[in-house]
Amino acid sequence: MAKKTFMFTVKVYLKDTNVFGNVYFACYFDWQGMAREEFFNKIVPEPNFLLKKNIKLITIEAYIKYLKEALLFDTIQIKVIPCNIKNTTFELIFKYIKIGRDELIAEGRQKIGFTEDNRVIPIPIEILKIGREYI
Amino acid sequence: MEKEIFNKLINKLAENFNINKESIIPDKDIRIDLGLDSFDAAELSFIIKEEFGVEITQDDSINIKTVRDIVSFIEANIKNAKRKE
Repeated sequence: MAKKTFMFTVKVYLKDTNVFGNVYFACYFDWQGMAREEFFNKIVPEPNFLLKKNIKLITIEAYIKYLKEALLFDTIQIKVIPCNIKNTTFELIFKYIKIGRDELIAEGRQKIGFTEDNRVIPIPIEILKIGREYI
Repeated sequence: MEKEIFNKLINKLAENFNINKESIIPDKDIRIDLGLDSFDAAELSFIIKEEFGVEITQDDSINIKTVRDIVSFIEANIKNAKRKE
């Protein structure tokens, strides 16, 4: 089966930039969060599945390596790739690509787990099954 | 038996949690000294179930602090686990 890919696109506006005219570092984390929300929104079959089951998604680690700057009106595509799937955690890799130049400008990573009633649980099967199609 | 369990456990800890084998000694606290968080500890219980057939529940894990505690727990329960097979 062909590997699926998930992309999330953002455009840089003045509110995203700093006094030097490039994108403020924290915006990359905002975008990472938005890309993750959309990723789960797309892959989980039922909307609000986690809320209905009282399952909490926990961000254990989040990381970004900045490679090149982004500027006003740049369009950036964020590719989300699940990896390193274990029993209780998995990771998402985020590749920030500047559209037009096809240039990798940053790379991020998150480690994610799930709890229910404050106890660590295995990755919900609904997420595991569909998430594997994107690896 | 204890030595065999300990050696297998060292390998699993090193493989799965990026821990230097030399730093894993029986008295090390798995959270404080080896840096395992609650997710790592839950992951370790899955690994132990796969490797030794011994189930460590989250209630059991409250009393498990050190590498030695894990080895003792496995040793105490491995016979029962084998009997169930």
